Formats: sequence, structure tokens, C-alpha cells
Amino acid sequence: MKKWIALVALLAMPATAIGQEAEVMAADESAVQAEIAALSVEFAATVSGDEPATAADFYTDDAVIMPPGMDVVTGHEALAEFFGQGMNGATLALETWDVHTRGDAALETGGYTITGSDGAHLDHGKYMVGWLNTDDGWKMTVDIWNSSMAPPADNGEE
Amino acid sequence: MKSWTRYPLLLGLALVAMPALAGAQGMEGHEMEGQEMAHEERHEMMVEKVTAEIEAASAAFAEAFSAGDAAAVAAMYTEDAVVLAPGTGPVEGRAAIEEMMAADFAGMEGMVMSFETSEVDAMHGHAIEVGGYTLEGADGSHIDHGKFIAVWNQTDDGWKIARDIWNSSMGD
Repeated sequence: MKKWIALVALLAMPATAIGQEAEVMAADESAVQAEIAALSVEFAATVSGDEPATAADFYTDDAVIMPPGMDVVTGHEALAEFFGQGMNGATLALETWDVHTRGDAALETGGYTITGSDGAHLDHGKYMVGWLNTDDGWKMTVDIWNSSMAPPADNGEE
Repeated sequence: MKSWTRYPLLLGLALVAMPALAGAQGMEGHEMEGQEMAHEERHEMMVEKVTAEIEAASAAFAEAFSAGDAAAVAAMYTEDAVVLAPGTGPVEGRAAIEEMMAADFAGMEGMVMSFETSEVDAMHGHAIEVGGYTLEGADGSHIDHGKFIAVWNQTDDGWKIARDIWNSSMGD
């Protein structure tokens, strides 16, 4: 009788562990949201501080960024080059609107503001970022944004 | 099958350790990992199925867009969808989306919109599509091309876009 009890106990273990894991994951979702929001703020600071290599480190090695006015950019080197264009003293601020998580992945939507060194409002818009929980923490895998400012009056398109 | 009953402790340990081992060694087609393989195969089939469905939905969207049918385009979105279009703030809800589309379509008669899906991240009931768009004039001239991300939800009425964002890849 003893060995059958032992067997049932062992077979039941994975199911209990999974149940507990699901509970932990649900409770952690808001923790993930907070973590991603914090990372976004940190990322904005590195971009504002003209630290292109550090900015690129916030992405996975095969991440794809999708900037307006150009083709997609992918790869750590190309990303560092993109961020190497510099902000010319302007500051980037990011605000997380919401985060949807699913296991190791998350999708963040938020808004951005770019302010000139003289405090002038330069641009504001919105973004969507896909995040992945890697061995190195949460990293961005895909990043797309666009401006919410009306295009110049002489632009006939759209 | 008789021998394992003599070692229930070992079987229990093996069942617990199996997923970890399979993951570490990447073994495939092994009898003991039948359950794990079936799960992976089912997942792959689901991803393929969802990808095909999303591509079809995307094509239907492009058709409605090319036809300048604002109501049909708006119907491709969920009731509380959010559109993150360039040049304006977030637009929420089908009615507002239809209004925006109608305004955009004015002066776009005959233009042809096409989408190309690069990647679909498929889950049960949800999908994230990354792709590109091309907008051509009635005469076949190139007007615009760009990229987008669309979040799709599976509803009783088929796949609908819950949120999307795009931008042009053309320089100023």
C-alpha cells in the first residue's frame, strides 16, 4: 500500500506545481506591468542621454524597430547606429498606457513626448512594444511608433 | 509494461523529470515524450491555422479599404478597438474609426491597398500580426508603403482588430 501512495503523491506533484505556478503568474502580471513601465522610463533616459549602445541593450539581439520615415531596423549594431543619431539635447519621455502579458511575452502600449532643450514641445505620439522575458530580464523584441501631431499643411497625402 | 509497477518511485520521479530532460536535450519522437510532442504539434498546427486565418482577414481588410468602404473597414475592428494612426491621437470605438476612415477615403478613390504579413504571434483567441502595407494609385503608381502591428481577437464574428498602429516607411 505504501508504495502506491508514494506513486500517487509523486504523480500529483506536477499538477499541484502547475496550479501554484498559474496563481503566481496571475499575481505577477501587475508586477510585470510595473517592471516594464520602469524599464520604459529607464530606456527613455538612455535615449535622452545619448547612450546608443545602452539603448540598444534594452532590445533582444534580433529585435526589430519600426521607425517612421524609414525601413525597419534590426540587429544590435544597427539599433545602436539608429540611436546614435542623437537627440540634439532634446528629452524623450515615455508613459506606459497598458501592458498585456502572456507568460514570457508582453505587449505594451504607451505615449511619448519629445521636449527640446529649451523646453519647447517638439513632438508627441504613441507606440506599441513587444517584450520578451529573457535570461537577461525583459527585453524589447519589436517597437513601432508614430506621431500624433497633424502633418504639415502643405502635405497633400493623407 | 509489467516491470514499471515494481518501481513506482522511479516512475514518479521520471514523470516529473521528463519535461525538464526533454527540454534540456531536445529529444524528439521518443516514446516517453509522446505527450510533450503531441502538445507541440498541436501548438504548431494552431499557429499555422491562425496565421492563415489572419492573412485572410488582412486581405479582406485591404479589399474593404481599397473599395473605400468605411463601414466595412470599421466592421473589421472590435467594438472598442483602438486605432493608433499617424497624425492624430488614439481613436477608440467603431463609430469613431468609421468616421476617421471615411475622412481618409475622401480623395483616395481608386487607390489600392495591400498588406503583407511578416509574422503572426498566435495564441488561443488572440494574434499579433506584424506586416507591411503598400498603397498604389488607380494608375498603378506607388503612393506609400509602410509597416504595422495589429492585435487581433477571435470573436463570434471572426477575427477582429482590437488595436493597430502603423507608420510610413517613406522619407520626407
